[in-house]
Amino acid sequence: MISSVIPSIKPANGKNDSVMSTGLPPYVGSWTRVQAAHLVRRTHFGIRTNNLNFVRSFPNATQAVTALVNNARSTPLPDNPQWYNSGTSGNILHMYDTQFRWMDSMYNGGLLQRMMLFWSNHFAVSYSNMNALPDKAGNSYASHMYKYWTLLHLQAFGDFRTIVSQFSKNSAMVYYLNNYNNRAGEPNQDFARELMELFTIGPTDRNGADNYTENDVAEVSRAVTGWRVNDANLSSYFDASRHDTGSKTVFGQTGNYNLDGVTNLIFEHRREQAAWFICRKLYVYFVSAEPDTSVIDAMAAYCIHQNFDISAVLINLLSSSHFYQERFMGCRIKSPIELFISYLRELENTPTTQIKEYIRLRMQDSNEELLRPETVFGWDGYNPPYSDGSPGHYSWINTNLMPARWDNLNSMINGNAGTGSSFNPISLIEKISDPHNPFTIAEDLAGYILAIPLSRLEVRVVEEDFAGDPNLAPNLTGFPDYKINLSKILLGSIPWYEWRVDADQSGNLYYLPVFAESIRQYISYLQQLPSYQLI
Amino acid sequence: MCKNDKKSAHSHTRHGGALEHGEAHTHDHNSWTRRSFLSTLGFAAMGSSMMLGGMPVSTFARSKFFNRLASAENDRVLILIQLGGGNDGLNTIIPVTNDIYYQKRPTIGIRKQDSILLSDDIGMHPALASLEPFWDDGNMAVIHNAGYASQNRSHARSTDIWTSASSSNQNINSGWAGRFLVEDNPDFIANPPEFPLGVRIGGSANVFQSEFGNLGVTFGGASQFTRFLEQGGFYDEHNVPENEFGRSLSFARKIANSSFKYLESIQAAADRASNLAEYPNSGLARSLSVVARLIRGGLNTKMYLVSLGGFDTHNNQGSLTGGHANLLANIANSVSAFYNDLGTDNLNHRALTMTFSEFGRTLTENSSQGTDHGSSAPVMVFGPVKGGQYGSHATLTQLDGSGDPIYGTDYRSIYTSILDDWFGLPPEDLNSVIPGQYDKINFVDATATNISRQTEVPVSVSLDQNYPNPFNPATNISFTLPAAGDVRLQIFDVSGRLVSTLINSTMNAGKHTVSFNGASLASGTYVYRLITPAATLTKKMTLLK
Repeated sequence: MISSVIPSIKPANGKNDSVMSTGLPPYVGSWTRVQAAHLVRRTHFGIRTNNLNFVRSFPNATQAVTALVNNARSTPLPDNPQWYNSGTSGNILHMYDTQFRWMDSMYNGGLLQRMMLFWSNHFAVSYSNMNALPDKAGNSYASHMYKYWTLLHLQAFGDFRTIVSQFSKNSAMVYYLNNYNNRAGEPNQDFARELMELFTIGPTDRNGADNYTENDVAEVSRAVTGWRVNDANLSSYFDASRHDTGSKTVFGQTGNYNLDGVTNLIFEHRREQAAWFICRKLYVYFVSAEPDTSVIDAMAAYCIHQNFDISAVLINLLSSSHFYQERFMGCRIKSPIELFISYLRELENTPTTQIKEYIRLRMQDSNEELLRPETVFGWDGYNPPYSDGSPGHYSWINTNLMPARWDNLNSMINGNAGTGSSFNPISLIEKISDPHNPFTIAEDLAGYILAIPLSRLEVRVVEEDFAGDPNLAPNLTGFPDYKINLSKILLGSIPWYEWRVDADQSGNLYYLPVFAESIRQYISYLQQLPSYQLI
Repeated sequence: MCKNDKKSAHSHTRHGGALEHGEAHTHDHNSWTRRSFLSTLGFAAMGSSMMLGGMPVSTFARSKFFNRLASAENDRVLILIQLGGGNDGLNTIIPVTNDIYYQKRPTIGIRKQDSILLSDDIGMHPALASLEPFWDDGNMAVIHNAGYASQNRSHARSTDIWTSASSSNQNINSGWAGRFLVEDNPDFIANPPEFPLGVRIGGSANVFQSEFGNLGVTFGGASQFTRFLEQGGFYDEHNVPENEFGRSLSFARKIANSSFKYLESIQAAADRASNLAEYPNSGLARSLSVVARLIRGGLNTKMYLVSLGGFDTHNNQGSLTGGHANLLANIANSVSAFYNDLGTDNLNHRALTMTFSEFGRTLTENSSQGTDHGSSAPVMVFGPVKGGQYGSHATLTQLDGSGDPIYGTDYRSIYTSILDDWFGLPPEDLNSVIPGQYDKINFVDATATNISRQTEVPVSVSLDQNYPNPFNPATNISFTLPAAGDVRLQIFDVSGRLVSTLINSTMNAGKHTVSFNGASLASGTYVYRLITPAATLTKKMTLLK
């Protein structure tokens, strides 16, 4: 909850507190489909009609965003799987079950799942690390990971300081960064370094100055000694006999710090740096891969002013006039899970077990599996560019991964490669377009699943005329070029006047196979356009 | 599918770059300049030697280009093996008579009698046993204690340093391999090669980063290697808004275009060759098997990057056996299989292989029976080297503030030696690849191969992309035969119907070109197939009326 007591806080970077602490100015322009679709795409895994209708039911951005955040915060934790309730598990199938459950939540959910993904990248933990190393939790790692996943849910919003503290003590994290083996007199720096480098402040501040020294790392590693894991109840605990009780000097402060002590120290003595660090990461995740320093400055000041309340920072950012600028619409490259889940959501194609297994395997092929980041940094694609400018979200696609994306989505829509049956488009077309009219379908489908204005689309120029009798040429009056070309691509060799939709005895509409297939092929064409990679 | 896109096909650099394509060149000229495009992408500003449409115009660039022709034609290949996480160099190449080593590593230290001795006082971890023949035959060099001043201990930053060849206090946003490939191929913007300049199977993308973007084609792994790209297209990378959205859109289009272009040449190389030795069952081995196959298939790529992760051994790293030993065995067995394969047809003389890691590990074991992020570490080089040890192993008496060895050889000396002795990069160009001056180490066997392409390299059948393409109504199809034989060249439509047989006769070795006229055919995609005793090759072309 947002604290109403606001302590006096020195503004970041010497800027005027009274101006900066109000956060970013809100978006007050017209609230149309364009802005609403942008909000849905960035706060959900792609667009879906019911989500679009929901945010459009509000009169402005601030109310819509506040409702999304409130809904996300009040979403109850799903019931535990039976395997989790019946003893600890080191069964890989249970790990996959956790991934499948998350895919279902992503398909049905929105901002909560977005934030869970954010934190799973921020507080990266890889299940395979615990599975592979003999001394770790080979017989209980699946349970530890499920508990970690529930923590992503429970700590998705709220006080950043609490979030850091909770993840620091999560049993999967204690294992992953080897803090379980970090003892008095025998420290290892794994967790201590990442606590500062990855979780709270980063190596350098906004001006490139070092946030800590190597000596600070060594001292923090002593302060965080003593933590162990109980595999039976999946929790960490503090073992005082393994804790280094000597005095430690961190950021020039000397005291007998423990884990909570150094965490507090970081947020007291590196407060501006911590706010800037987390706000920059949120900015990149939700707005653009090119961090805007002045906007992040304002976010950071607001973050401090709101006592590190993440939901307050999010509401401010997602309601801001900055967020709704046209240049940000479609400026982010979809991550692998965004690509898969948004495709299913766009098509309103509820993932079956087969499809989830297919997605899992494809993500495993390219080292992009959920809950299995390649390194302690998470995935490069979610992270802000490093100081040397390396590529951020550009790393999601390359000359191999892009064709793989095309193939995978083609398999899913055609029911190939064990994904089940081919996609039946009728109910989607009924929702978003006029099933009788191929010209409308071509335009509406493209406008729905692509995040960019159709006038910008790299649509193929089809020089041949429409199929069919030239004497029955369609009336194209008022059609922009892209609509003509898209319609030709959808229709292919079908004369426009033969396009039809049928109804069964109960009045339910259906497409004959030839029309259903041409819609599937059209969707395949759209998803292979470079624009489809953008959200 | 998108080859029908006449407008964007014309704007593609490959067409617009050469002056004889007048219309295409004008299009490039009018819509965008390569330079403004690149600078908005966020890459560093290009040198003043480049101008509109990617044409090199300054005499500087031209003279460089002509000087480099000879070396650009050499067929030497460098394979980088990135050991991700920070390899424990002290347990890889071991100071077996140094008491300090054993005092600091009471549980994980490797005893002298267990090691493979390289000299009286230096041993190699026994897990590296399959490298022993390399050592004995003079095909392995060890460069001791490589690193740099003011060691940075962050994985990310130190990896950036090693891959960019920068100093600890210096940020360079390109990779050393990327800069070399730019120097080595000064004409590639105007005349982009059909093959990728670098191939990356894992490892840091930054290695191949250049001011012109990333020059490495990336594979997720060996299994994705033969993926057939059904349709791609030539998208307009330039006609986009100059903002965040436009930059991302341009990037996605660029990748789509590149995907199409390079996969074809890689597929062709793979079709022409296979592996001739058994490889162990590991990701690294499979990656190296791909590299061997591409080299044998005649891909002209000079630099490959493969990787093995898991070296961040903070905890229970083991000693004679255990996690670290398994990693070392994986390297040794994979490298051994790779050279067995290449040696079958003497390709081993063309392939130099080097390991590197972002840092070594702490001298003192941390009593989680592991080691933390450390400083310098040895680099191992295999293949055409002057076998032996270079530099000296750390004495372990001169230590840095964290109690770890101070580096003895700057890692950039190793890069410098390879660039000069292996790739023949002229000394006056070295500085644009490796900033600063670093003494060469004499470990490369510079006489291993002729600098020019060897005649005994297996030349195989090749089928070129038709030209022009798309076409209306005529186009030329060229192919090369290694030996005389029966040849058929046929055209099919996309439904597989035979449209025309252009050649059905015995032909001599060498390059042949035939013309095809599609005046009587409808617009669309056609397939042309070359059938020879050695291989059957197929390509697509587009008739646009």
